[in-house]
Amino acid sequence: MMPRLTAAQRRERVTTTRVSQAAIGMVVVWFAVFLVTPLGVLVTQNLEWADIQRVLSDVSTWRVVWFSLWQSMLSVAATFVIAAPVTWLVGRYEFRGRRPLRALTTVGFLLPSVVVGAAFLAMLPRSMHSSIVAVVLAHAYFNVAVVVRVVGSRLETLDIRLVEAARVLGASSPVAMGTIVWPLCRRAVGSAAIVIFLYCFTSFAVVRVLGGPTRNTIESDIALRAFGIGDISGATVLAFLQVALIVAVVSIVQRAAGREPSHLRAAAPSPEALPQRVRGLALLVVTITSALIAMPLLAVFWRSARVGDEFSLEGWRAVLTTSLFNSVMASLRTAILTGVLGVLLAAATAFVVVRMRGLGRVLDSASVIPLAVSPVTLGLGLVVTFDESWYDWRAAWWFVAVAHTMSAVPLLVRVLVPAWRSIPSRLHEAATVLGASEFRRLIDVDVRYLKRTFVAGLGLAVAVSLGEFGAASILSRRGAETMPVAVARLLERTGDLIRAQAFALASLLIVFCVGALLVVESATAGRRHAGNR
Amino acid sequence: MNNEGLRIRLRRGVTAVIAVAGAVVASTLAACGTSDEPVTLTLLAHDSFTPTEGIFASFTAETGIQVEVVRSGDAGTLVTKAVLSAGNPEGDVLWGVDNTLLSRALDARVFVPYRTVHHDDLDPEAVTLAPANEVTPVDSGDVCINYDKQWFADREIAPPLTLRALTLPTYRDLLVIPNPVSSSPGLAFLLATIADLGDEWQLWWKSMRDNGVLVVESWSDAYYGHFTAASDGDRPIVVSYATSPPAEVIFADPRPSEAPTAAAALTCLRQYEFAGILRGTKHEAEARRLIDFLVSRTFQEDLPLTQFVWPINKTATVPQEFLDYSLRPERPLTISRAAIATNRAEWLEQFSSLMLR
Amino acid sequence: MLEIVDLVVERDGHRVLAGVSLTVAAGERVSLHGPSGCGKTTLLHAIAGLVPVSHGHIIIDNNDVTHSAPHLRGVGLVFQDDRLFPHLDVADNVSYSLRVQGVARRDRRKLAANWLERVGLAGYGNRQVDSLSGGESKRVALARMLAAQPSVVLLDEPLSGLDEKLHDALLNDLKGLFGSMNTTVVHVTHDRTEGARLCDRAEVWTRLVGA
Repeated sequence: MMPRLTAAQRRERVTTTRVSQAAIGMVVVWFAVFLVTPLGVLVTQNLEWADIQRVLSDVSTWRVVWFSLWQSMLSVAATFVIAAPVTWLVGRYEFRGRRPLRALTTVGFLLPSVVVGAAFLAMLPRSMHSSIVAVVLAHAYFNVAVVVRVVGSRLETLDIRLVEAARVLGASSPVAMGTIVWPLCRRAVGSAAIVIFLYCFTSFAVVRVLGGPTRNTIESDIALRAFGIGDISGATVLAFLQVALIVAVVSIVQRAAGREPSHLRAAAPSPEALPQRVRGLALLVVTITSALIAMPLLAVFWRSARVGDEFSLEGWRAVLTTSLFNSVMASLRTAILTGVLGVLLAAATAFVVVRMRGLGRVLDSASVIPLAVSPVTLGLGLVVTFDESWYDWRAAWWFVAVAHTMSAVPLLVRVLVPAWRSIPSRLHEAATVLGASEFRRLIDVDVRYLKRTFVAGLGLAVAVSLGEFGAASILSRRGAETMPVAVARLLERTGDLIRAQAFALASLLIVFCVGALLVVESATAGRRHAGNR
Repeated sequence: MNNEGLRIRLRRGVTAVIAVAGAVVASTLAACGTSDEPVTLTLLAHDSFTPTEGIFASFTAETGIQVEVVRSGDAGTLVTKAVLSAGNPEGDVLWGVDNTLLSRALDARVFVPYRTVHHDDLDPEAVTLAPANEVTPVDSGDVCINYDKQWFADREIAPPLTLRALTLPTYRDLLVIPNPVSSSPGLAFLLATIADLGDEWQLWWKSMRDNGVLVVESWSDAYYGHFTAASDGDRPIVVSYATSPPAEVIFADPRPSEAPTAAAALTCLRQYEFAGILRGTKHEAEARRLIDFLVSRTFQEDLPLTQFVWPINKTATVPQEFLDYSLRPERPLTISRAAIATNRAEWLEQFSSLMLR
Repeated sequence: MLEIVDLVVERDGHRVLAGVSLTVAAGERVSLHGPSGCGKTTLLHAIAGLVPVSHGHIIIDNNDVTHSAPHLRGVGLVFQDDRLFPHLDVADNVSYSLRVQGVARRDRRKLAANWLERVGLAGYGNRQVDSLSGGESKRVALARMLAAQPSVVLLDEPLSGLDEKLHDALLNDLKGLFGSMNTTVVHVTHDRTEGARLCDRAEVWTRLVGA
């Protein structure tokens, strides 16, 4: 029987404590200043009813909406089809090379969209350069990792022996899959589908680079209106239309995915070893998948060492010794700042979500909003808001990091909350009984337990920042452009040496992203071992 | 739980973070220059700004001001960036806003006015486009349809000479244009169609869409990526400049006797380029001197053979070989400055609806 | 009725079961004893069709089912670890076999209620699987298997992990149930007394090879 809490300790539980007040305060101020205000400025200063009518009554607007919808749905389907073999393999079986394979798919996810666009351009024949096929394939390339990680992890914890039980009860294999495996995976599949849909729906760089100017998603149309035509009002209308559509689709899918069974049986069986009969097929799947993922990367590295048709390291020399190197510093600076800010804010948000039921639920849903507000809209809002007197931060070295942090926090919160929830409450209770204050408990129990998760979050935020293009292309200043923006600028120009420089910079970007990814992987792996003890 | 050990680790961690942060901040501050050095002006320009190497040496010798040229893409991109950073600019002087994009830049108050000392030497038609001297004209050119003469000769097809002709089935799938929304010659071409076809311009574009016109992102993509005479592409008709054919000759080695490409004179729109001092610059006095230099004879006489544009300073002499090979359309298509200012956004919007969505 | 002739099961190259033979008459109850790891569970899984057979035959009610799919054999198996479906409630778990046969939901839930009553869990239909105690989930697993009305019932340590009182209660219930239904039963257990109380006959194995 646990010793009873003192009156002071009980009081502490009920009221909002100082720590949670600080956490809430930090989160609220951040979102109010850098998300709500820019969006508010966009609406109040740039929007009139006439604009809304004008944009919504134009048929071409709805053509763009339709295009965004169907290309992202097609991309989701294509991604699942392509990812299915690998996901099944990684989720069901244990074999040598399983972790590297999964890590490899994640590299695709973290690669900057500009780099992938460039790599695909390098690999595909000219006839496919402005095609929907190229766009869908590029989307699948990024998002295979989502299926592998989300659905794959669900498969890992799925007791496949339930299928045996079903079969003995009279269900054929397909029926067993449909009545047992599918319902248990449905939520994970829905989760993965939503994430993939969001990325493809708001796709910007890929559609621009591989789809040509005549194919526009809502996101690229926002950029077209705001920066090409100069119609900020029209762009704002579209931005909010996009948010509304995203919210609608996400709600529908979440409702369809159903509720998760409230528990998973205690000890989930570890994936079984690869049975003999599957071994050949598995080898095929692994080889093909690895080749497909590695090919664009290799293409980028290959091109970085070629000027025209000859081998040359001039591109690399330029990147490392000339002013191009400024972009490397800018990217690293921005990425580290994003990592630190992101983890702090996500931790504060996650803390509130886990500890406070009502407000926590609100914050949980609200924390997804930055994902729905696309990077271009965010960049646009920031630029038109902070453009005068003491708050003219457009040229500030940390401004880009603000936009990146906004995009990274939702992702980090999604990673932190489940981990935080899994901290056994007895640890807190023990600490409380031993007289630790709330802040003390936070440090000694939560932070300590979640150390690895924080590191993984940091790595993720750094990777997101390194590869971000939409907002950075709007906010980056000359001389301090981030690497993806610099690569895109170089690719717009012609010339063999310029090309080599672009690909050299892109290669360096890949190296950094892989580095961040390794941090994430090692932190996650360590945590899993710790958890199983 | 080892409180002491944890506290030490925490302190070490915090120290490390502060050290890293400090290093980052220090490196950032170091990147900013001090104000004791001689002034260096940053001249923002588009990618086609390619004056002779060292042209600014005489300017520096005379004034002590260094000039750093920064090129960033098409004129359209340049103006967009300038608009986004109005009041907090990335440079001191901007070269390359043309008459099609001017209204956008002026609306956003990108420039501070200055009346150059050479004002009276400049082409009066150009000067009227910016009567309040927010910007100073620097050169002119013509945006026209260019075609590959050899390609048409090989197939014994008559090349297109007017805009209306381009809608004929003969020319199906042969035209490549840069996107008017993002490219300045592209926008000039759009305006040319409006000037030439009046109210029917949207119908014309619809027919062109059905006739297989290819829209690409930038002029260099169109010219060096798809134009048969300059790449391994498959489009023999492209939107470019009246001075592109002479460029094909003068830059070629060995020089052909006549230009391999030609411009269709009836499709040309006169384009004027301007330079201006960016609002928010910290070196306005120096910037004025640079503007004066840019319209001086020295600089203007360098323009024809390096950038293939016509100087705006009437007293500048144009090299003979430039005159030999180039075409100056006598009556190019024009659109009034007021019409552009009022309708540019709407025309681009209509174009986007028709062709890009 | 169940007949196993010279059954050989191989896994990863070595023999897990080597030439096992066993005959169980209709309505007869046999218990299998032996040290853990000697292949008793494998035998049950082989009979159920979950494990491929290299040599030998399995004959159920005069049908050779050696290479038939598990869902066509008419065999019921209660696993050592229950394996209740976490996403279905108790009644849906119990009536799963009926669902597969296409019985309408209301009807099969009613039938499930009957079976739950017979295993002593009347009214448990709407409960969630994760709210059950050890003994309760074993009974649900049992009901689920019985609802399929198999020709042969296989029990794999059905009473393991239960405390003494539950153990005895369930044992008595099982005895009554099987007695009244005249079921053919193969009962694997390490507890000889339990085997003796439930079954008519006992087979003791020391190794993988039977008889």
